Amino acid sequence: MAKSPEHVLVVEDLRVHYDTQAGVIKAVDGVSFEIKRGEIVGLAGESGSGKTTTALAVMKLLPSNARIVSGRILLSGTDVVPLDEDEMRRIRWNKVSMVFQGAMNALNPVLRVGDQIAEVLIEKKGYGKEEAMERVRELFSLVGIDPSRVRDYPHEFSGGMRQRAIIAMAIALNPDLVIADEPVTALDVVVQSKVLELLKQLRDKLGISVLLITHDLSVIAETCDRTAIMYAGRIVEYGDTVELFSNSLHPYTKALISAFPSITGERRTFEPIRGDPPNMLEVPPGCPFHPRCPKRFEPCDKEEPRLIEINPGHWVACHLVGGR
Amino acid sequence: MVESLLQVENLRVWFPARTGILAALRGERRYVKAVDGVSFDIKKKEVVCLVGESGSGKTTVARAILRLIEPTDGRVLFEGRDILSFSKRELREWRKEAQIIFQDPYESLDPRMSIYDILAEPLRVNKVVGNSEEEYERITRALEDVRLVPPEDFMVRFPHELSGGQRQRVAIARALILMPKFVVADEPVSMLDASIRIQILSLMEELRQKYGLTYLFITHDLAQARYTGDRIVVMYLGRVMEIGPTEDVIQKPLHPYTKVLLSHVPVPDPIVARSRQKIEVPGETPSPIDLPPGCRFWPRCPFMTERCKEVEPNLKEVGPGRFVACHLVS
Amino acid sequence: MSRAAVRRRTLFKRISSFWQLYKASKLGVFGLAVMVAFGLIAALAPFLTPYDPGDFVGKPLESPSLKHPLGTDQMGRDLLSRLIYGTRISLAVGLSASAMAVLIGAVIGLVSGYFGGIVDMVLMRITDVFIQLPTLPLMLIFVAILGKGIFNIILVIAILGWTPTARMVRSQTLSLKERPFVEAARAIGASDLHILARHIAPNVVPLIFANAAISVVNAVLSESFLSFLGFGDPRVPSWGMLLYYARLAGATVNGYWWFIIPPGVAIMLLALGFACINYSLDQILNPRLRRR
Repeated sequence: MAKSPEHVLVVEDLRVHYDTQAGVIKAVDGVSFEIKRGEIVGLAGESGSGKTTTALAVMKLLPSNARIVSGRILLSGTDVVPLDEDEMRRIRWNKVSMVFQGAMNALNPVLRVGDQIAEVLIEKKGYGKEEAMERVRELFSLVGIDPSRVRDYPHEFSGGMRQRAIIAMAIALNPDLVIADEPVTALDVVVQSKVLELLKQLRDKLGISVLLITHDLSVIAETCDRTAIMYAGRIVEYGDTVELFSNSLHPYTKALISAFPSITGERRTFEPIRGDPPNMLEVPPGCPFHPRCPKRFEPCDKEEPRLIEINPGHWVACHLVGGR
Repeated sequence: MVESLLQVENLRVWFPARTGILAALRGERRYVKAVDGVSFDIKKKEVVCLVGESGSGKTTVARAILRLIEPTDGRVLFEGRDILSFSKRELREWRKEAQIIFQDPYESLDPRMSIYDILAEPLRVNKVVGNSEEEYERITRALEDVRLVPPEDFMVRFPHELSGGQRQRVAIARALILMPKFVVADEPVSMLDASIRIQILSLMEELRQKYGLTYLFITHDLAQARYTGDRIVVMYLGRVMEIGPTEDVIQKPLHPYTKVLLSHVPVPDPIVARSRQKIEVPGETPSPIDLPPGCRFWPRCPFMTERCKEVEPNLKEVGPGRFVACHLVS
Repeated sequence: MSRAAVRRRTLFKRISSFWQLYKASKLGVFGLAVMVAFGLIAALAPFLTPYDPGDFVGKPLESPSLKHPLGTDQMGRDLLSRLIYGTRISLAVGLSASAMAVLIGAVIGLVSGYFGGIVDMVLMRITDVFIQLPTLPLMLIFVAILGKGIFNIILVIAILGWTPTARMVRSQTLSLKERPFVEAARAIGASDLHILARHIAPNVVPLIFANAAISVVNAVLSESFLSFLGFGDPRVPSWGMLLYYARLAGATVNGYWWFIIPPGVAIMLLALGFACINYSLDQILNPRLRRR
């Protein structure tokens, strides 16, 4: 995978382990992908797939019992893995920011929304109070909130507006990359649609790249230019979204897509995937998906398949495809 | 002509809202009209999906039907009997026939009870079994029904030892162990992983056919409703907007709200997603207090007329089994 | 398999998983060891004491010797025997007063929290009154009115000690009441009593035990204080009474260290032990409730 300044994020063979009482969890086990400028890339997977851990690793916000075992994370060319907390603090919000899961409920209820966003500008960039509020009004317009509402409190905002405010906070300092972890899960359909539209607009108008993390493939289909499907801490398929959906090669991808009912197309019947998501304390040997895979054959429980570029820009990790 | 199992007539559930001191002195009362005149019916062995966003009142309807919340007004007829007028004794008897599966697999099971006890509870509370062997038998069969096998293994476990999907199976087993006729499922799979959802939904369908059950699914996910329901009831702000056979409503929606919803529901197909036109609507769903007169949807409706602002449309039958509450549809 | 077998296995699981959690805390294990040690001493007291604690067996105020390892008090009674017997009293008072206090508090908290409304209001106002009362002076008054006697002391400690439990149990009940599994129980037809007994109470019990541990500390210290001031039961050799006699003999002034230090250390150890138990029970409670 080529690295160049036009890549805002390059993750190379990232491995993150959690130390727990019950043992070591290899939450992220050899993940590589990159995001170009002005691109929305989706990281899709179910719970336990390692997608949130990957995001936290990029921001170096992992909990204390987690450690980056190996790999590189290049943010606009700089490897952040060896950086210490002070250096990371300078990068956070400036180069990369994050919209956490449930962030819209994490706004401080006793402070005005405008003030909370202004705080980022004042603390990080030394803006003056007036200057900061000006910029906040500007940000509100950008994200589609009436600028006169900077003095409202969070409870006066609806769910969708709070999420937009959080996004405003995330783009306040013009970062290259915004990481959004399940940004629309708790929102109603129309609101969800509008927030996703907003992300696309920010990409188009401001050239901001987005790493969109979600379990919902419909959200991925609606929003992402390219997508990586994660399972048990690995990427099993990765490429252009349209290509991924119309020409899925990995059995898990196919199974996952068919697990999402659609209001368009034929009304089909389902075929459930056998088994349960993997126990991350005891990941199956070889390909982690093999116990549940309808297409498994001889090498699948012995050798872990590598991520190979099958078609230009389309990568798959499966013994069935692309040989060993 | 298949008979109705359940008929909901003009159901209202109003919650008193806080009023200011002055207003209270004047005797004014404000209400959150969570459910404000909802009518629909469910036929025997049918699956009806009650679809709506937050604030639509769908969850409240589900609970009111089971009298887990007391309705303010209206009638709920179960096999012709008005359950809202049941005595305490009749209500307890009836509970065996109508059960519920909750949304949260992590919270709907008592963490301190073993799976055995969780399943035994409905039997004991209703004094349905005579001795411990019978009880053991029934619990074993219930676990086998929901494919938690070997049963001896699962009955000694505690909820925290089970995955989300397994817990939801226990919840299903608990709901079915009394052999009810009617089951309300409140977003039963929304908190589960995608790959587990269809497992659970197909299990529920299998059990429905096996035991001749009738289901009322509550969901916000129209796509899911498409795959589980025979008929869909669309709710908005406490009222029913549209009713009809599932495929009909999805392919040819009549109510503007349904049309708007369908145009915004995300689709797991990037080509379709990028090419379709979304109907633009302002704002978000308002709260069900202090609603303006007229149709609930008019402030956001792209097709609204003057009449919509003044007169609230009633649910009218516009075709066989097709009901719409909209002035523009006749 | 049978229901009985299921019961046995699940009980075993509950105990062993609790023990797994508990033994992770070194303090907790220490506290437990202290409790067990004192328990053994109390149980085996007659076999451990060389003399009868009430007998006058030596010269007054003898300092420690081989015959009387902890010396004698001003009436010639062997202090080691009195100390050992005192374990019985202190443990008995501590455990029974605490059990009563916690029981009263738990019932009030459960009823108040679950039923709400007028019941809650009345019970909480009563609780508020009891919280305001100055415990120590009131205890002294009670004992002065009811008379000195170990049972009166236990009663008084219990009557004035139930409020913290009531409040905590009430607040836990309030939150438990709203949890989906309670609604699920209603849906299957459970009555209020059933829900209280089978769902709310078991989920509150861990909290009650944590409270009980702290309550024991309170009880032991209260009894010691009462006795030390002279309001204790002179017939029973509780550690507090030993301190009382020590005070009467002017032990601090005259340097009779063997008189004061052992009972003081004993009280402190017992209190510390139970405080550690409480600490580790608290630790278990919090993460446990959030576990998925």
